[in-house]
Amino acid sequence: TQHTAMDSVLAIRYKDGCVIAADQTNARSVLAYQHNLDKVTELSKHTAMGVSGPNADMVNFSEYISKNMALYEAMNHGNKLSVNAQAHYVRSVLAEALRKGPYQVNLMLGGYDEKTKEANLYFLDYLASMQKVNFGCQGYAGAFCLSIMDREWKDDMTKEEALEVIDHCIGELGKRFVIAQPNFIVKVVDKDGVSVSKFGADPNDN
Amino acid sequence: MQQILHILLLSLATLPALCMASSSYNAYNYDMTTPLFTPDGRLLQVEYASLAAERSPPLVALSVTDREEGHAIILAAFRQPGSSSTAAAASRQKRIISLPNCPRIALAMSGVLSDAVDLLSVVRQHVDSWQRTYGVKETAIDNVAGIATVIGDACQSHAFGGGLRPYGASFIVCGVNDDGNGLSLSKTDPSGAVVQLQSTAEVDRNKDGRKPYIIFMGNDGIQKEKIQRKISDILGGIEDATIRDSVEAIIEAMLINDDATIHNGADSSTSGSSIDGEFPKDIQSKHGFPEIVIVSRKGVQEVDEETLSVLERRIMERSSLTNNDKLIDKTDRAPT
Repeated sequence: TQHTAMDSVLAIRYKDGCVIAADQTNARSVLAYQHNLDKVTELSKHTAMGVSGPNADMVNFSEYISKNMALYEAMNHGNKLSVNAQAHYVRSVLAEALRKGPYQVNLMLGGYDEKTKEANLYFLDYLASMQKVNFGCQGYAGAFCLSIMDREWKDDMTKEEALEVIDHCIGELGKRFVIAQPNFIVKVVDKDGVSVSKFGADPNDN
Repeated sequence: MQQILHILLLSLATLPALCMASSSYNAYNYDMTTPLFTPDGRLLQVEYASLAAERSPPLVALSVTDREEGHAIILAAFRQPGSSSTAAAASRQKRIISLPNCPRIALAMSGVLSDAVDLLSVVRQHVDSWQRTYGVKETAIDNVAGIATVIGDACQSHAFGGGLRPYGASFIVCGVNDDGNGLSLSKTDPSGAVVQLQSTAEVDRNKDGRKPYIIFMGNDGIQKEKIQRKISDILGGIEDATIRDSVEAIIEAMLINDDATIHNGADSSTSGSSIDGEFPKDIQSKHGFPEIVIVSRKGVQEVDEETLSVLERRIMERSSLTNNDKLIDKTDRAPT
């Protein structure tokens, strides 16, 4: 069973939100099932996570988490969990499953906290490690993109600047990554919620 | 004609209800075990448990809006009359509890205290696990209702029966926001019901006519109505009640309530005189001071005995000067 999937997930935290991008290829071994998969799940109105891993775990885990977020809000008089709280919760789910039946998913979880007026981005992997970061990648993409992000990220970036850096990263992958990933979906999470900035292929087009 | 029809229809509609209420039965046939309904649909053991939860010296929860501090809740748990030695006081179970990493939340217990302490451990586990799961350093006002629900759920699971009696304790769970602009106050019951008595939505700090809101639990032989009325009267007469005013009101209510012959379950009408205007020489020797805790944006603070005796002395001095006039004089207040 592979836990290093060929998925690329890229994420950058800017001043008022996060940009999370992921490739849209659904493949196993040498067969590509589809090129319009949406791997960035909306967890709640103000958070989203980009997930990489085998499709089964990715879908199962994403749905489990997003429904539990909804349940929490329903049971707690509409109280929303902060991004920090959601990341800790996700990590606890991964940690509990780790020694029973691990979820083979690597994530970038990002969102915007209205209470503190700040954006937060977290890196989590299938071993239940968690780290708050300014930018990050999952998969082989890190080998190509982390250096770009490291050079180009700065404090108090605007949304446009962040999207530009993502474009640089996607361009680099297209040029130098041996596995062709023709389509990427880019989502933005800010105080207005989760919105799609652009996609290579429409996920709803089936 | 139409009127007669109307009346006929009304009586037809109420008929089923009348039928149900007319069944009579002996309670002792239906109150032996918890999982047993009475013919008219009551769970007697659970109802008895609610009565047990009231068998405590009085517990007062007073919510007040202080001009500077914002919303605050004062919890006061009166002590059992007669036992007030320092040794006894030191070993007594405190009725007002604060939790670690919950800086502006307090719980007050009433009823069978050993049951209440058991429910407390359920709360502690819940709060701790919640803080770990969600990586939260401090539990805040948002979770007051959640804490009360946890208590309620534990009570309800015992109200099912299954060999265990219901919990005989109720809680008041209250919390205040860190800027003094929000408060939340919930009450639990042995049946598992949780009532949210006050919440930020209803209490607006900037609205005029901020009346103090009083909740009263426990009626263990002490004249609940008298205390409650006394507190209302005192605070109702003050334009802009502060936290300090409220604490003084509670102590004053305690003073007027003294009765050396009050015992558990004694009928208040036969228990000697509790005459307004006649004060005992000090509360300390008769009852021990109530446990008074202030929950405000500053945190959860217990009022210490020294402060309480200072306040008591001043109230007694003031009262002996003016018998029936307003007992709290604005000009007489010393700075905090």
